[in-house]
Amino acid sequence: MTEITSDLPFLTGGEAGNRMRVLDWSTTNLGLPVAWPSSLKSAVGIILRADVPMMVLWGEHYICLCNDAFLSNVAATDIPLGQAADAALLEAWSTSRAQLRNVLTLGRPYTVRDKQLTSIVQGQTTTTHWTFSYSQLMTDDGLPGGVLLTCMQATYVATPAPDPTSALQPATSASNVSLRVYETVVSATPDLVYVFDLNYRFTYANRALLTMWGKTWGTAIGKGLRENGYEEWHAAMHEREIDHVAATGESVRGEVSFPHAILGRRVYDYILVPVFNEKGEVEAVAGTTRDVSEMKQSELSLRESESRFRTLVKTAPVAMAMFRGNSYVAEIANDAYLNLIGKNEAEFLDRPLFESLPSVRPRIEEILKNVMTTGQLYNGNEFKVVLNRGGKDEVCYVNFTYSPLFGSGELPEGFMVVANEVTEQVNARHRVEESEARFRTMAESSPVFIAVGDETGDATYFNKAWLELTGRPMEYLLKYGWADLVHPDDREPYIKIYLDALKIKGLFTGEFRVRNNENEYRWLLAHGAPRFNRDGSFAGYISGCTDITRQKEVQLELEKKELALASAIELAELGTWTYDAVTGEVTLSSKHADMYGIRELQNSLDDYFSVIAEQDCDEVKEKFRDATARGSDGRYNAEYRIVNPVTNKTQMIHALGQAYFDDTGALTRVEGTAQDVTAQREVQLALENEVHARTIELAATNEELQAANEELLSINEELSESSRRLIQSNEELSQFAYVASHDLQEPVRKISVFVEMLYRNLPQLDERSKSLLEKIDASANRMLNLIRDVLKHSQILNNATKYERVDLNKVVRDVEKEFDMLIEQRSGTVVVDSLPVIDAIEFQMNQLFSNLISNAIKFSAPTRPLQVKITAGILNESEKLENQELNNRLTYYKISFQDNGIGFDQAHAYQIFEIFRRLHARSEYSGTGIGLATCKKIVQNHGGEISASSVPGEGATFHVIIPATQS
Amino acid sequence: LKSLFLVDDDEDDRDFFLSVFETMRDRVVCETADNGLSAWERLTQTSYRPDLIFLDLNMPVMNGKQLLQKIRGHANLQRIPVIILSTSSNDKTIQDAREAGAADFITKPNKLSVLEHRLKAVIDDPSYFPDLL
Repeated sequence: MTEITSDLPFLTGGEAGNRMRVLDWSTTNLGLPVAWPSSLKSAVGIILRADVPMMVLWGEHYICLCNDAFLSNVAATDIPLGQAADAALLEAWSTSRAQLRNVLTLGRPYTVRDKQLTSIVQGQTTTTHWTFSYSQLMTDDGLPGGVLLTCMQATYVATPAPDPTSALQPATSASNVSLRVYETVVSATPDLVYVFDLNYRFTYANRALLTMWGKTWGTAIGKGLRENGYEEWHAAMHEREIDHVAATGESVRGEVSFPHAILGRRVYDYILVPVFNEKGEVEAVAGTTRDVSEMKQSELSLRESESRFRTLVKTAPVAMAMFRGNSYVAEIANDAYLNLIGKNEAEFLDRPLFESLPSVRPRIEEILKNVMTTGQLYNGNEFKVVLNRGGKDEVCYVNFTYSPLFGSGELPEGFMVVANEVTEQVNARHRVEESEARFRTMAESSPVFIAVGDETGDATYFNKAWLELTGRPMEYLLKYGWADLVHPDDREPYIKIYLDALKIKGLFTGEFRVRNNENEYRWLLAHGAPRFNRDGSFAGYISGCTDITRQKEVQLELEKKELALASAIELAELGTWTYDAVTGEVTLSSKHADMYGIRELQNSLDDYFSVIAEQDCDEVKEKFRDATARGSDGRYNAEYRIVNPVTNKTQMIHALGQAYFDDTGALTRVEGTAQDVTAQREVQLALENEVHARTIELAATNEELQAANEELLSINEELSESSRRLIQSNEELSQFAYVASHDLQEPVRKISVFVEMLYRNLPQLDERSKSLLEKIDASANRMLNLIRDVLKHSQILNNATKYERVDLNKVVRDVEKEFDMLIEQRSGTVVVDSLPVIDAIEFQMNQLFSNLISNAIKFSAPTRPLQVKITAGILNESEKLENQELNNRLTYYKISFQDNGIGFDQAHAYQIFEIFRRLHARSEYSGTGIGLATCKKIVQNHGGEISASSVPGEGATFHVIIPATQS
Repeated sequence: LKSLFLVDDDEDDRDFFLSVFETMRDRVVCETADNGLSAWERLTQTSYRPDLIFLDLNMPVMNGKQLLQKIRGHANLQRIPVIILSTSSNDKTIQDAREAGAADFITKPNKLSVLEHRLKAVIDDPSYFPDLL
């Protein structure tokens, strides 16, 4: 019970309210308070808050509902709250059922005056006087609902000694009390309550009405409808109605719409009822008006709701559709939705979703099942679906919401989908992402230094070229930028260029130096361009820098040159001039104009030449014509006199110029200089005179010298003759040596062979003959060897030196072949390293190798097999320094011939290279004593050195140091 | 038999060579000429086609170098290998001979045994006698 009534704020107050709250209303005719008509609820709310005794008698059974004041002051017996008032009760209130019926059904108020009630207060019997007022209460629909009883005490009636003035007092007081009570009631209601007299003037208006009018009691009461702001039609309507009520005694009910001072246009339901006097005549018309705007609005809203919903769905710019039932039958789908799925209404409506759009089933079936079983909304973002549109499958991206639609049951009856296709945006984003990726690839491989910044100016990307240039990782550059790498002189200006551009989001370009990873400054030329988002908002800069260090250097060099030229011109007191072939004008530097004593810097060619002294003028003009003629080399060089028009003095001018021609060979311009050489010429002239004088003096001296000279010449001639003869003699000697040895060797050779033949031919030979033959042979051989070696030695310098690339490996192979028999005889081995290819005279190399190997064979130790080792290597710097004869700039090879022969005493290391020097007796070791001398001559002939080292008995090593190339 | 043609003006030298060839008479047959011209006539005016020619450089009338050039310029003779003989073992002489088209070079020896050794190597060299293979 408490639960039911706790939600009923109108059941308030003390005793009465409390009793009503705990009453089991379900057993009464009124039923549960929650279901009461709102007019009853508000009437009960009013009486329970009022401090005057009041009672509501509701319905045709006059169900009793009263307040505390009524219970304590008026009720003689207990009031059956919630029960019908019986006859006894009505009797106690001095009224009858008939009278109540009049109030209830006809709305005629009824008043019982001066009703006496006796009560015992503090042991004394007190009689009180009351006025009981009965008035009609209406239902929500404006039909008779019940009767309101209001009791007003009039105790003062019993006061004796009436006085004419004071007699009025109680009446006035009673009236005031009545007004106050009435006011209390009607002020609490939002309904408009008012009373007209029969002249249409307001005699009463409650607070709500005054508020609506925006007026006060004083300004509104006693005024007519128009004076209180009613429009003419409205006033006239009410006046007709008042007349009608007055004439018929019947109430009038109507609905009207008019503006409210605060709430704007409102709809009102009103009832005008007659007020009868004691004679039953209508003396006034009372009205009650209720604001039904909200109610009207909700009715209208409710009616329109369904159609509005459909309209809304149909006309919504986003795709919307509604599906019902377990198979998701499409009930509503707007054009946007049909457009999205590529279907028309006939194809889609009243069909199960997955029948019309089978392609979406795999993606959304589970989702829909979830929405339908949990009743929870589902949001899909950039949901990828395949839709068959216009006969072909398309991949689409959709943002959508599935919201469950509830009916009476607990589970959704269907769902509503709101979808928004974002395929374009997603594709665009993909394209942007792709383009971004392409940009990165391009940027990464670009030699241009590319950087990207965001809208705040912070860098977001540097390409590989940047990272390589600065030698810093991306993280570093993104965090700290590269401003610290910029040359201090360029930092501020460049940052300013950038910030100025950033302000207006414009292009920028600038040059600056940046320190690279090798700590060198490189000149970069930067171009920056703003980037914009699709919506046109600024996205930041992209910048590309190119290395212009080389250009910059050239430019600086050029500037330096120009500066040097300018200062040279300045220094040389040169005037410069330019002849423009198109305008025919000569432009002079101010220095030149001063030199010529001409005021104007621009002159015609004739004016320019007019200063030239008459006797030189034709020649100068001719030179100029020649230089500017088609096909000329363009050089102009003239020296001439001018007569300075300012000083009237003659000056000597030296002019130089260069003519320039276009592609067709036509003259375009001549650029040149002019120098005042007057002073020089004067000096020169003086010098020339001096020279002339000296020349004469010199001539005399010269003659003397000439004589001495001739003497010297003849001595010289003699000298060169001697030298020539010496060479000739040398050549002859060499030639002789060659011829002699060549021709000499023939007979000796033959002697040797004949001895051998003879030896073979003689069948029986005694020991003595044999020994003699051997001696002949030995002598012949020795002589032959001697002759051959002299021959070879003589040829070394005789040959015109012609160097060629010689592969020493080939040389050693050839020489080995030559000696293979001898080597074999001594069970010898020759081990050869990889040898170099050098600039050399090939046959001399052959001879060198031949002599050294033959030497090793010749001096091999008889006790052990011969071993020759030939090694080669590049001579290192310190070895090079040891030998002062060598050229420090050349590369030398050191080729060593090491043998295990008898060796020699190191003390003889130098002597062995002397011609005809023998360390051993001829009988011990054959040899001419020429071989090593020839080796030395060959090596020296090639700009090298030869040396030998040895430990006697263990072997010798010959070192040949020879240059790799011959300059 | 391998047919050899020895062209040398020096009678002694011809004897030396012939005495060596005599030792391998079962394998070679040798004819001689004493100067370039007589050799040229023998080669061009008869059907004589030796397998190999030994040619001395220093000869009267027509020297070895001139004859070698003629042989190299003759269509029917140019394929015959020529080995140059000389007293001088000067590398330059050898080089010149090779450039003139000589197949090999033999220094005139002062030892018969050396000559035997050298000539034996030539006769045994199959590259000089392709037709006999």
